[in-house]
Amino acid sequence: MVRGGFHGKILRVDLGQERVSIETLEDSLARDYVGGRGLGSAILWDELPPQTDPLSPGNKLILATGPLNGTGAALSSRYEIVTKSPLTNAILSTNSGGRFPIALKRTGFDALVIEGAAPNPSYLWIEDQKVELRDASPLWGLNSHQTTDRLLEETPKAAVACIGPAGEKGVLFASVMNEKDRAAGRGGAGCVMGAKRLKAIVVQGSHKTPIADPEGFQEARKNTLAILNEAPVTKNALKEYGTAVLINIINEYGALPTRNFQEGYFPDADSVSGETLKELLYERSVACATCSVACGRATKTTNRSGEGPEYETIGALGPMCEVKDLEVIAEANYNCNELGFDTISAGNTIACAMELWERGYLDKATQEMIRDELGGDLRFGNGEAVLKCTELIGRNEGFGKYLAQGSFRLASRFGHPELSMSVKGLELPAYDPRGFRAMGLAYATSNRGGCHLRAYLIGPEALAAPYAVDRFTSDGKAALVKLYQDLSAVIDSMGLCIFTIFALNPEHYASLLSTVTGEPLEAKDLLRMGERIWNLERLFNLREGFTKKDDRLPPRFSQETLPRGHSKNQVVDLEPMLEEYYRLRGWDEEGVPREEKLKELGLK
Amino acid sequence: MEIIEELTPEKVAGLIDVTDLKADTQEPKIRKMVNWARDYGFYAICVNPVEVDLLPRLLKGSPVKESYVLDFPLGKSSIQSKSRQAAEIVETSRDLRGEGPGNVELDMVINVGRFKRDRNYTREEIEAVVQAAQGELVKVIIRSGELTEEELVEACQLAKEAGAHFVKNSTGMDPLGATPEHIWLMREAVGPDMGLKAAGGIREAMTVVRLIYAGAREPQLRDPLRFRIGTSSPLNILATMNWIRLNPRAWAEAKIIPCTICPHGQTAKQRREVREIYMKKCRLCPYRRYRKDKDF
Repeated sequence: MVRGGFHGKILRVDLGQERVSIETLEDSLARDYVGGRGLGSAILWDELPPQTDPLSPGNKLILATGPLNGTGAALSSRYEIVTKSPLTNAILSTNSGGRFPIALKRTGFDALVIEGAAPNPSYLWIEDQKVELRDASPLWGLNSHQTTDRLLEETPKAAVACIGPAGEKGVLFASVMNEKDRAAGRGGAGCVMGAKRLKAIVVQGSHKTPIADPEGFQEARKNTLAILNEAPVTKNALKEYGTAVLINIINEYGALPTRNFQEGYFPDADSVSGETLKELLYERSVACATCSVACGRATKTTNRSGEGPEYETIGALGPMCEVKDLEVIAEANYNCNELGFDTISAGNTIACAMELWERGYLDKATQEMIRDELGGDLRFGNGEAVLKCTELIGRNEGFGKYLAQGSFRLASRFGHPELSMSVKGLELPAYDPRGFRAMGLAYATSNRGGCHLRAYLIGPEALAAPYAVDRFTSDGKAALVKLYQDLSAVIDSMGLCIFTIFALNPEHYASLLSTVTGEPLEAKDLLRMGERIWNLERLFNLREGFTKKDDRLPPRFSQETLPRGHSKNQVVDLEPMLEEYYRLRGWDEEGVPREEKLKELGLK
Repeated sequence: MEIIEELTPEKVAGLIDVTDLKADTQEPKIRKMVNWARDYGFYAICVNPVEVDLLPRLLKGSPVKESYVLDFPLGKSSIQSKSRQAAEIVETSRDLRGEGPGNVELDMVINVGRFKRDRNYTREEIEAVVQAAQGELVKVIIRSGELTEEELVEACQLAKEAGAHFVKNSTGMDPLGATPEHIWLMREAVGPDMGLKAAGGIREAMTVVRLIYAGAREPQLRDPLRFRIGTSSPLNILATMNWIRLNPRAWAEAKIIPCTICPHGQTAKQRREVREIYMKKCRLCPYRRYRKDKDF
């Protein structure tokens, strides 16, 4: 019998052979790995040979839905892409919201496994369980907006996920875009898709997600919605100003990365804040399907319109590059969305280039190239240069070719890898770990590299959700990071938005999942599932050659204190937290899961 | 840790007065609060007196108590006016609910200005309300953020002597919400036999645990007639309970910056005389160095 929350089918597409097949989803996979991120990771672990080149036909691109997609649960419209990242060579799971996740679920497939590489540009068209690989030659070269519009002309009710020129041209942090402006942004899933010459995936269908205990589920759904509507963060802050509400808050904490993390306080933060965005650019709020929060923002500048910028984008393209013009940031964001690449990696990489420039680390030829292409220098605060850089990255040409490799490769090219603010090659988000200790450990130990969403401890460290904790202490943080990592793995796997973590507790997630699947679960069972997923991802990275030395923050965070603001004089002492973290995880001193831990989790 | 282990969401719900005292509150919110109280087992619903024409009807047949604030939030009406309003609320509620005495509670605000120079006045106004309440439970709001610690202790003792059943620290609209230090002082002042209600800025479970630790450390005090929490975020408190229970030690170790829950650092809205006393305590505090170093 198929468990609730699943259709029991996986679609496998071999692009090279132009062959599709439908496989049965093993019940044990759904039971042990929940769905979404967990399911995708388990498939990748099983099927991907070690040391596969991420951009070779051998890499797999897995799109996986969760058991909550299509059930009507609040904030339940996220799907996950799992692959091996070309930016980091680590396991990558990256998710996106909107309408696409539910449309994908309604095709009747729980996951798509895409392998090989198409001989010519193609797109995948799925209606219910009818699958076609179609010619995408006329679409090749179009941006994400144009591609979506063209595809929707044929099937107006479908949902589209596609790549822009960045994905086609091998930008290592290219995104997969759905509903034009929604991004499975991080780590370069769009680049993998481009290497497979897969331009888009178009989905529609009529399959309803089965629910094992409809009455119990309605009760759980009602309870969780009531709490989401009452919790301070999801009720007020995100709704009113979108995620950009965090700009002023994090800046007040003195932890808003500024000038490539050289500072944590941006004097002009208010000019790029959520409040200012609402005043100057706001058109309307945008919500994913089933969302009561609506943190997205449709915006308009003098010349253009689009979606965003949200907090991370402002952080990366604004204060990180010392840009204080919100219009410029918004237009750079539109470029990223239309050309299809990650705003966090882009902003960080440009900021890194700016620091290389200011410190005189760029060679003469490169400086000349920059002057030619940007029409000026690449100093911090040069908004026009940032805007131009986003265009160059998207086209992967000129100096954009260097930037398109990400900050670590860029900084290494000029002999200063320490100026790349990244972990495992993935650029860091907009929370300085010197102001938020737990975030430091979360970055260092994140399986996909520098990421805030693997353990979003900004909740307790900055927003008192669920409770305020001392953001400067290292005590207890290892246990909290583990708790959040395990829980976040399950949230991603269920198909829920991570922002639910500001309101719901593990018991709520357990009630949602158990009523949908029909398998009784408590919070501790849920966390065990999360722990299993986390350890599996860790095993994948170890198999790829990652070691303890990759669980590190850039040296800046332990060697340079913040010069001003409310985190002044702070540095991160990672080692004690890391030791405690390995111990709590049941890993040895080198960060390798012990045999007994693997047995306990059923991974051995 | 023992408190955390003992506190189930159900037990916490049984200590909560679900509160909405905003000027623009409308009927749908009152109905929503009633539904919450029925669904989650909250002890009482605390609203403005105008709701007495609706709340008793909605709560008829349920164990949930009605709680009305009196002369809220300033406490500046005359003794006669407070007493008349108390009597009117009690009578109206009993008429509409038709379930006899024992369902109404009155949260009266004392006249702090008068208290500062005339303790007898305060005794008189509390006694008048207690009498007008016809045996219903009376809570005395002392607006602790406007008092020195000596005055706070005196106000609590006075409320006890005047026959009130509870002391309550804050209206939620005065200079200071519920801080563990004040709640501890209040419990010390009134002893274990009187009720104590903590209110003001209580939005999540860890704050509740701290306040329980301060005001109801002994298990027998964790009873709705001995300890109460007033909050407009009851669902968030229950939702966040589960987090502590999953890993109490980690949350405890990650602690909180002490100054953020200390009354002596929250002086922005205080009068000069009180503020200076608080600031002096802040200057002499052993955590001062901590505060300076962290520059939070």
